[in-house]
Amino acid sequence: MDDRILSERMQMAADLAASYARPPGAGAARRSGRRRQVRAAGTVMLLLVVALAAPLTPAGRALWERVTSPPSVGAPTGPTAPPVPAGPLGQRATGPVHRIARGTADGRPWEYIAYRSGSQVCHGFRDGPGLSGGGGSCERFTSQTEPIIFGASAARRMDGTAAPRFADGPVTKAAVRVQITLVGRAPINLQALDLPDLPVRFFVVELPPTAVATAVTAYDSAGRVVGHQDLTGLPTARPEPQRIGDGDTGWLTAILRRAGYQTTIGKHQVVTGTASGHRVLAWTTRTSSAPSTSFLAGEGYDIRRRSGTTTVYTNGSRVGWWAQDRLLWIEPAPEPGEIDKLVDLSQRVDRVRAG
Amino acid sequence: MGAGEEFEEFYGAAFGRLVGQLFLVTGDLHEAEDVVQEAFARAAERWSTIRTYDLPEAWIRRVALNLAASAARRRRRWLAVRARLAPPPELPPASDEVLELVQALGRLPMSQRQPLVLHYLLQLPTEQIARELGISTGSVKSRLFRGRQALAAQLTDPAWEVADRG
Repeated sequence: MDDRILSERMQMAADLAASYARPPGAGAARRSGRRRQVRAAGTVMLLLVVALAAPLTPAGRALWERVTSPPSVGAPTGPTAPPVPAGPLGQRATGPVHRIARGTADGRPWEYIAYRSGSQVCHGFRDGPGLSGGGGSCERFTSQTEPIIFGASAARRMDGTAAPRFADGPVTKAAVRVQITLVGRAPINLQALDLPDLPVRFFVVELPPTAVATAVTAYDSAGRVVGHQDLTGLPTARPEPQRIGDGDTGWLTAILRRAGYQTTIGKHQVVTGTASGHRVLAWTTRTSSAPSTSFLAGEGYDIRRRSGTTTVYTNGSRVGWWAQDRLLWIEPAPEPGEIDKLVDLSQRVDRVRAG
Repeated sequence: MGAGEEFEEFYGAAFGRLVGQLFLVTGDLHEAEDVVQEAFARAAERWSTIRTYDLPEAWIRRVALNLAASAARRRRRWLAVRARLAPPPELPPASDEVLELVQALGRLPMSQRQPLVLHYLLQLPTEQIARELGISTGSVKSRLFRGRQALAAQLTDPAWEVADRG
C-alpha cells in the first residue's frame, strides 16, 4: 500500500471540505459556551436554593419543577406543609429513607433517595463528598397527580466539567415498568421500584451524555399504558429521524423557497436553504402548544424579537418560534428582516397541505 | 490581545482545517461542521485554561472526534433501516478519487477511521494518536493495520494494487 498516495488523497479531501466549510462564527461558539455555563450555574444555584432554602414552598417547588420537568398541564399538588426541621432533602423524614439507586460519576458519589415526610413524599439526589450536595422536592401525591413525573436533571457543574444527567421521577403505583424513548437509540426500559410505605413508585437511570429523551411511558403488569409524557417539542429535543416525506420537510421547503432559498433535504429531516451564498438549516420539533417564555428561558433561550404576534426565541446560534403546532428552528439566525419574512411564511403556508 | 480576540483569531484559523479533518472521519460536511462548532463552544467555556495548552487545537480535535464517535454510535442502531431511505450525506463537489476515498473510509468502523485520519492526514506518531484517542499504542497500530488493509481492498487506483503486490 502506498502511504504517500493515501496521504495526498486525504489532504485533497480535507482541503476541499475546509474550503466549503461555513463557520457559524466564533461569537456563536462563545455565546453557546457562555449560555451553557450560565445555565449550569443557574441550575446548580436553583437546586441549592430549592434544596436548602424553601423546598416545600410553592415558589421552591415551582423552581424545582422548572429545572427538572417539561411543562405539564394540570398537575395539582396538595397543600404546602408547614416548615419542619431539615432532613436528607431539606425536610424531615418521618419514615425510612430509601436509597433507590446510587453510583459514582466523575469520581463523585451520588444516590437517589425517597422518603415519607408527613403527608408528603420527598425524592431527589444527594451527591458530592459525604453526599452533602444535591437536592430534590417534596409533594403530596393524590389521585389528581400526574401518573408520571419526568425529571432530567442538570448536565454540568459550575466548574464546567461534565456531570451525570439522569432521567428520574415518581410514577403511579400501578406502573411496573417505565420506558424512556431516545432519539436514535434503543429505548431504555426500567423497572419501577415499589416501596411499600410510599404511595408512588420510582424510576431513575443515568443517561448517556448526548442522549435526547422524547417520551416516557409507564406500563402496568398487563402491559397497558398507565402514564405517558410526550417530551418532543422541547428545545432540547432534536427532530426525530423519520422516513423521507413523512416529516415537515415539504412545509419547510415551501417556506424557504418562497423566501428565496434554494433547498435540499438533509439528515434527520433537516432542510438546508441557500441564498446569496448564505446557508441556513431548518427543522421542526413537535409541540401542541407554544412553550412558555419562562420555560424556554430555563432551556437557555431568550426572546430575540417579536414578529407580529409571534415571539421569536434565540440561544445565540439559532432562532425558533411556534407555528402550526410546531416549533420551527433556523440556524444560524438570519437577519431580523429575514426572520420576519420566514415567520410570516410559516404562518401562511399550510403545513398539512405542504407536507 | 485579549482572550476574546485571541479565541476569535484561533477560531478563524482552525475551524476550516478541523472541519476538513473531521469530514474524513464523518463523511458528511454538515456533520463535520456541527461537531467542530460544538467542540469550539465547549472550548469557549474554558478558554482561559485551554489557551495555555501547547496545542489547543488538539484538545478541540479530540472533543470533535468524540462527538463524531458518539453521533455514529447513536445512528448505528437504525442505520440499516435508513440506508435506503435517507438522502446521501452532503459532500462538496469532488474528484472521483476523493469521493472514492471518502466512501471507502465511510465503510470502515469509526475505530479505524479515526487513527487512519490522524496518521495519514496529520502524520501524527502512534503515541500521540493513542493520547488523542485515549487508547493504547498497540490498539492504534492494530487499527491502523486493519484499516489500511480494508482501504487497499476497496480503492481501485492501480497504484494501490502495484504497491500491494510490492
